[in-house]
Amino acid sequence: MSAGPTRRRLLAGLTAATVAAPALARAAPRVVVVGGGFGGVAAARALARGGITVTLIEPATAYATCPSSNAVIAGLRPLSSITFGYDGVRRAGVTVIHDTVTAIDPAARRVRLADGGSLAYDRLVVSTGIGLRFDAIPGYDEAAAATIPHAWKAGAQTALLARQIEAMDDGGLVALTVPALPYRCPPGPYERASLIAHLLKTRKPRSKVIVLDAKDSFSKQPLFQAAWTALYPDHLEWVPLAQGGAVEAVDAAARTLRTGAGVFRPAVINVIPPQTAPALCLAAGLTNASRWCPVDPVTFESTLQPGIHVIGDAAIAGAMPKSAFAAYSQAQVCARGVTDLLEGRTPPDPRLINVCYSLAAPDYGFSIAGVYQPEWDRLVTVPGSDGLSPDDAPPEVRAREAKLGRSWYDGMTRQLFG
Amino acid sequence: MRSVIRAALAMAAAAPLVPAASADPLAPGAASCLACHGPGGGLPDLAALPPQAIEAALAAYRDGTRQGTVMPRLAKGFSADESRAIAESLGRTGAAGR
Ligand SMILES: Cc1cc2nc3c(=O)[nH]c(=O)nc-3n(C[C@H](O)[C@H](O)[C@H](O)COP(=O)(O)OP(=O)(O)OC[C@H]3O[C@@H](n4cnc5c(N)ncnc54)[C@H](O)[C@@H]3O)c2cc1C
Ligand code: HEC
Repeated sequence: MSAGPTRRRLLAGLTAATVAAPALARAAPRVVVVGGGFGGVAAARALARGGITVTLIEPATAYATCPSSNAVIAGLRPLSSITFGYDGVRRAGVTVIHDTVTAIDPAARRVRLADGGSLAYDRLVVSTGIGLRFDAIPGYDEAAAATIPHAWKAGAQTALLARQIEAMDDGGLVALTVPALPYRCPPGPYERASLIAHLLKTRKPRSKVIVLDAKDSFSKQPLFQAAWTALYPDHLEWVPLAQGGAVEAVDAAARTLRTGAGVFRPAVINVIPPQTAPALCLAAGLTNASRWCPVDPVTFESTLQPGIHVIGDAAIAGAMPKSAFAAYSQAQVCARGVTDLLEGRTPPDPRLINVCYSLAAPDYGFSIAGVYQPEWDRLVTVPGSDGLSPDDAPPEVRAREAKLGRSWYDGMTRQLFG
Repeated sequence: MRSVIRAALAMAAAAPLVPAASADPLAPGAASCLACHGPGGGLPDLAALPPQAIEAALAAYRDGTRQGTVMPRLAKGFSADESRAIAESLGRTGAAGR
C-alpha cells in the first residue's frame, strides 16, 4: 500500500476515530442503502457479505437495466430479459423495503419514507442515479415525455420508444437529441443511434436516424464514426453543435424540434435531456453548484454531509464516467470504507476500474477502459491504463468484444440480482 | 486496531462457513476484477488459478507479451506490487477464492 500520510488519509483517520467508539459500543451498526440499481444493490450485497446489517430501500419491485436497453429499443431482445426482481438480493441477506425515501435528515441520521415511517442509520449509502432536467429544454417537460420518450431511465420509457420505432412507416426520420456532458453513460446515445440504424437498415431501409448533438466531440468517437461509415452511410447522420445540433425547443403537440440547423418534424423523437443528481440529493444538501454530489474519493463519503456516502451516477467521481460498471466498482470501495469506518479502521487507498462496452451492431462491439486512484481530493486515471479498443481491429475482434460485452452484462446482472 | 483484525481473522478461519469477513479484505482493485471474472461471467475463474499464474498473466499483459482485448489496458493500471497483492487476493488461496 502506498506510503506517507496524505491529507485524505488524515481525514479518514479522524472520521474513523470519532465514529469508532459509538459504533463499537452498539451491537450492530445499521447501514441503510437508498436505491436498488447497480450501485445500491452492489453496495448492499458487499456490506451484507462483510457481516453488516443492511436495509435497501427501492420503490420498484422490478428493476429494468439501462445497459442492454438500447438492444431492446432496436428490437433485438425483449424488455423482460433486462428486468430483474429483488428475491436474490434478499437471499443474500439484505433487508429490502419497497418504498421511496422522501427526505434525509443528516443531523438526526434518519431517512423518511413515503409511507410515513422513518429509518435510523449509522451510515447511509445513496445510489439514486440521476434526475432528468425537465426545466432545461423549452417544451420538454414531464408531460411531453409521455409521448416523446427520453428512455434514459429504463422500463416503460424503453418500451415506448421501441414501440414508436416499430410502428414507424418505412421512409421515416428518427431524431435523437443528446445533451452536453456530464450525463449518464457518455457513449450511450451513440450506441442507441447505431442500433436504431441497424434496425432501419435491415427492416425499414428507406428510413434514417439523425443525432442532434449539443457537443462537437463524444466518447469513443473514432470507433463509432468508423463503424457508421462502414455500416450506415445512408442510415445515420450526426449533427454536431457547430452545425446547429443543439436542440433549442421541443413542441410536443406539433411533434417538432427546433435546432440551430433548422426545424425538424421527425416521425419518432427521442429527447435525452440534461441531467442532475436526483431531487432527494439536492434537498438533503448533498449537491454543490454543479448539482452533483462531491465525495471523498476513498470512502465516497459526502464532503458536505458527514455520515452519508454517495456512489454511482449522482456522485462526482472525478475522471470516472457515469456508468453501471463504475457504480459497481465504487460500491465495492464504498462498502469497504463504510465497514472500516464503522469498525474503527482507516480505509486503504483504493483502486477502481471502469470498462464500458458499446455495440455499433449486434456483432460489432468495442470498449473503453480505465483504472482510477485517489489524488488528494479526487479520482484520477492511472496513467497508461485508459484507452479505447484499437481503431484497426479486424471484424473477429469486434465480434469478440460484442460477445464479451454480453457476457459482462449476463455475469453482472446474475451477480447482483441472482 | 491490529488485534481486532487478527481476532476477526482467526474467527473467520475457524468457521469456514461464515462468508469472507470484512476484516479479511481484498487488495485494492481486486473487487473490481470480479465485475468480469465473477461467477457466471464466462471468463476464467481466477479463484481456480494459482496466484503466481495471475501475477504472471498481468505482467505479460502489462509489458505487451500477451495479447488481449481489455486486459492489456487494465494491467497497465497496476504496478508489479499491486498486481501481486491482487493475485494473492483472488487466486486459489486468496480471500476471494475461499
Ligand atoms: C441507454 C443506456 C445504456 C447504458 N449502457 C451502459 C453499459 O453498457 N454499461 C455501463 O456500465 N453503464 C451503462 N449505462 C449507465 C448505467 O445505467 C448507470 O450508470 C447506472 O445505472 C448507475 O447506477 P446507479 O446505482 O447510480 O443508478 P440507477 O441504476 O439508476 O439506480 C438508481 C435507483 O434508485 C432508485 N431511487 C431513486 N430515487 C429514490 C428514492 N428517493 N428513494 C428510493 N429509491 C430511489 C431508483 O428507483 C433506481 O432503481 C447506460 C445508461 C443508459 C441510459
Ligand atoms: C471488463 C472485463 C474484465 C475486467 C474488469 C478484468 N478482466 Fe481479466 N480478463 C478479461 C478478458 C476479456 C480476458 C481475456 C483476455 C482479453 O481479452 O483481454 C481476461 C483475462 C484475464 C486473465 C488471464 C486468464 C487466463 O489464464 O486465461 C487474468 C489472469 C485476468 N484476466 C485477471 C484479471 C484481474 C486481476 C483483473 C482486475 C485487476 C481483471 N482481470 C479485470 C476481462 C476482464
